[in-house]
Amino acid sequence: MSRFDEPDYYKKEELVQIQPKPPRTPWMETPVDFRPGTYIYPGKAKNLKVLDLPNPRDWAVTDVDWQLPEGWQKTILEGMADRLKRFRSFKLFMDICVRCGACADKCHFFIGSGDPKNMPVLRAELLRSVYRKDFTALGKVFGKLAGGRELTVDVLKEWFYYFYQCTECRRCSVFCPYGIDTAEITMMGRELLGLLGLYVNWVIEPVANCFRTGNHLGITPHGLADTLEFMTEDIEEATGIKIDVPINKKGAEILFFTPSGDYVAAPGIYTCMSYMLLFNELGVDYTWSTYASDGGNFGLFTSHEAMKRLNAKVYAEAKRLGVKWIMGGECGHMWRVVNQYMDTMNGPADFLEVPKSPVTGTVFENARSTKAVHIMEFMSDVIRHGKLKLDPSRNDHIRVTFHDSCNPARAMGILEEPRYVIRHACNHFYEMPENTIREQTFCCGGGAGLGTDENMEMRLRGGMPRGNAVRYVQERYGVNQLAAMCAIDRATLPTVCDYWAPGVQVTGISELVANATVFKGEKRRTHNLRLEPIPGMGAEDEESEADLVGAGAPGEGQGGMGHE
Amino acid sequence: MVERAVLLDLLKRRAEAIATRWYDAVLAEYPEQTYAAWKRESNRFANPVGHSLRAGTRTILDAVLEGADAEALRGAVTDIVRIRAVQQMSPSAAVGFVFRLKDAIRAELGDELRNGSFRDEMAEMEQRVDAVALAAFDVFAEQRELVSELRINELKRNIPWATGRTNRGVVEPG
Ligand code: SF4
Ligand code: SF4
Repeated sequence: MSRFDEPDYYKKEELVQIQPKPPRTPWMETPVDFRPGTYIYPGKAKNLKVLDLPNPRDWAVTDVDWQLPEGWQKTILEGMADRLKRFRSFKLFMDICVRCGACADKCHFFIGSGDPKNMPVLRAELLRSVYRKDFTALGKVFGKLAGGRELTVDVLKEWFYYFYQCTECRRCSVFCPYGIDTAEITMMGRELLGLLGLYVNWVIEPVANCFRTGNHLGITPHGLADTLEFMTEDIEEATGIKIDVPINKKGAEILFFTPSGDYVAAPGIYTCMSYMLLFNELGVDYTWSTYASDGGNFGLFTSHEAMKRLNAKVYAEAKRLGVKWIMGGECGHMWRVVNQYMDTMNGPADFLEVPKSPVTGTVFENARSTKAVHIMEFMSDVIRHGKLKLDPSRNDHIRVTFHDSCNPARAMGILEEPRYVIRHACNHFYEMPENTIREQTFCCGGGAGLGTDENMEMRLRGGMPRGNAVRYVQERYGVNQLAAMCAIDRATLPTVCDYWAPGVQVTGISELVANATVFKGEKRRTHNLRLEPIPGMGAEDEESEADLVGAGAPGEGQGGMGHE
Repeated sequence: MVERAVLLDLLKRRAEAIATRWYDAVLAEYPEQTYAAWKRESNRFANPVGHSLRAGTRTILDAVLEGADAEALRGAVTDIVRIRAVQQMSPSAAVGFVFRLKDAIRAELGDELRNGSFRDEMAEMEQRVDAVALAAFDVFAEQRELVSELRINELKRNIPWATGRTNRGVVEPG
C-alpha cells in the first residue's frame, strides 16, 4: 500500500472493501488450537481404574499421541451404531437438522467467543459429518461431497475440544424449530470419547470419588459429620440458636440431600447452613445421609451408565433409613437427574410415600412418581402458608437479581417458586432482561463439568452473556447480589461476576430466606450467616476493619471469607 | 489553528460514518459466519459482543475527538478490551483493533484529505489514536492479570475448616 502522504492512499474505495476474514481452510479441515485456558486436563488413570473404564493412562491434551487403543475407529463407529439403535432421539437429531441456522447464535459459547464451531449446528455437525459418511447410503458412496468426513485423530481431538465446550444447557433447543437438543448430541459425543478412555479429570475424578464414598469430594462419613457440626457453630454465632444435625437417622420422615459443593466452599456453605436453620425452625423431621451424601451427579456428564451407578444410592439409602420421601437442596444438574431420570433409572420407588409437607399438609402431586421434592417447591409452599416469620427489611441492603439455572429452569420448569421465595425474603428484587432469563436463561459457562480453573478463559467467554445481563441490572438498578439455586452456579458465577460485573456477590436463595427469618429464640441479629455485620442492625460501630475480610471490600472480589 | 478546527469539525460531522466503518472492520476480523451473525443481531443481550463493539467503537471515537485525557480513554476502551482479552486471539490482535480507526478516518475522509490537506492535523489525530492503543494495552494486561487472579480466588473460596479437617487421617487410595 502507498504511504499516507501519497495521493493513492486516499483512494476511498480500496479501504471500503471490507471482507470478513475467510478461514484459512474449510471448517471441517481446520485443526483445533489447544490454547491453555480453553481446555480441561484429561482424566487420570487412577480414576478410570476405579470405574473400570477403558484405556486408563496418564496423558496430556497437548500430546501429539493420545495413546489411543488399537482399532479405535472401529470402536467409535460401533459405539455410534449401538447408540443410534438405543436412543431414538440421537438418530432423529442426526437426520432431521435442516441447517436453518436458528440455533446458530444462541449458544453462550458462540456469543462470547465468536468461534463458529460453538454454533450448536456446527457442534452437532462434528458428529453428524462422521455419521453421514459412515451411516448414510449417500455418504458411503460420495463421502465428503455428501458432507461426510473420515474419522481421523484430528476429528477426535476436535470432538474432545468442542464437546467439552458445551455445558449441556439446552438453550439452543429452545430456538430450534425441530426441538433438536444439542445437549444430547454432546452427551453422545462424550460417551463415544469415553470408549477410548478420553475423559476430563474435573468430571471423572468426582465420579470416581462418588463411586467410592457417595460424594464427589470423597468426604468420608465422619468428615461430613464434622463439617456439618462446624457449620452449627457459625449458625449459633450468627443467630444464637443451637441446632442438632440429624445424620443417618432411621425412621426420619425426609431424606435430605444436596450437592457436595454446599459443604466446602463459599458461598455454598451459607446455603447449607440455611437449610439446617430453616428445617430446625419449622420442626422438620429429616436426616442427612453420609452415604447418599451428594445430590450432584457428574455421571450425567459422563455416560448414562455412570449416572445410573451414582444415583442408585439415593433410593437405596431412602429404603435403608426408612424415610417417607426425599427432598433435594438447591442444585441444578442434580435436579435434572433426580426429576428426569431417577425414577426410570433406579425406580420405582414404591416403598416411599407421595411427599406431603409436614409443615403445611400440602401433597406434592407432581412428585407422585419420583417421591422427590425440590427445596424451592417446599419452601415456597411454607411461605405461602405463612409458616415462617419473615422480615425482608433485614435484607434491605441487598438489591438482588435472579439467575435461572439451566437445569431446574429450562429443563425442569421450576421458574416461579424461586421468584416467589425471593420476593418474600427481599424487598428489592430486579429481573434481568427477558431474553436472558427463564427458558432463555444464559448458562454460567461452567456447567456439565467445565467449571474448573484451568478452563478459565473458556468459562469467561461462555459466562459473558450472563455477566453482561448482570452488569446491566447492576448499572441500572444498583443490583449487588445475584441469587442462584444451583451449586455449580454458586461456585462459578462469583468468577463470572468478578470479571464481567465486578461488585456483584453471589448467594443461594435459602441464605436470603434464613437471613430474613425471625427465628424463635434468636439473639439480636447483628450479623448474617457469613458473619458480616448487617447494615442498619447496629453492628457497624462495634466492628473493627479486620472483621470485614471477604465482605466484599473494594478490590477483594469474592476471594476469601472470614474464617481464616 | 483554523485548519485544526476545520478538520475536527469535519470529523465530528462524519463521526457516525467513521465509527460504522471502524466497527465493520473490527467485526470483519472474526470468521465469516460470526461476522454475518453478529452483524444481523442488534439486541444487546442476544449479541453482547457485537453490541459492545458497535457502542464501544463510537464511545472511543467520541473520546478521541473530544481530546479526552488518559483516564477517560482507558474507560472508553475497557468494554471492548475486556472481551477481547479472553477471546482466542494474540495480544497484538486483541488491542490492534484500535489502529483500524486510522484506516476508517482516512477511508471516510478520502476526498477531503486528497492531495495532502490537513497533513499536520491528521498526524495529531493519529497520535491520539496511538494513545488509545496504549490505553488498550494497559487494560489488556490488567484483564489478563485478573484472569489469573480469578483462578486463585476460586481455590481460596474453599473453606479451610472444611477441606482441612474433613478427611483427617484418611489416606486416599491410588
Ligand atoms: S435450529 Fe435446529 S434445524 Fe436449524 S440448524 Fe439448528 S439444529 Fe438444525
Ligand atoms: S446445549 Fe448449551 S452449550 Fe451446548 S450447544 Fe446448546 S446452547 Fe451451546
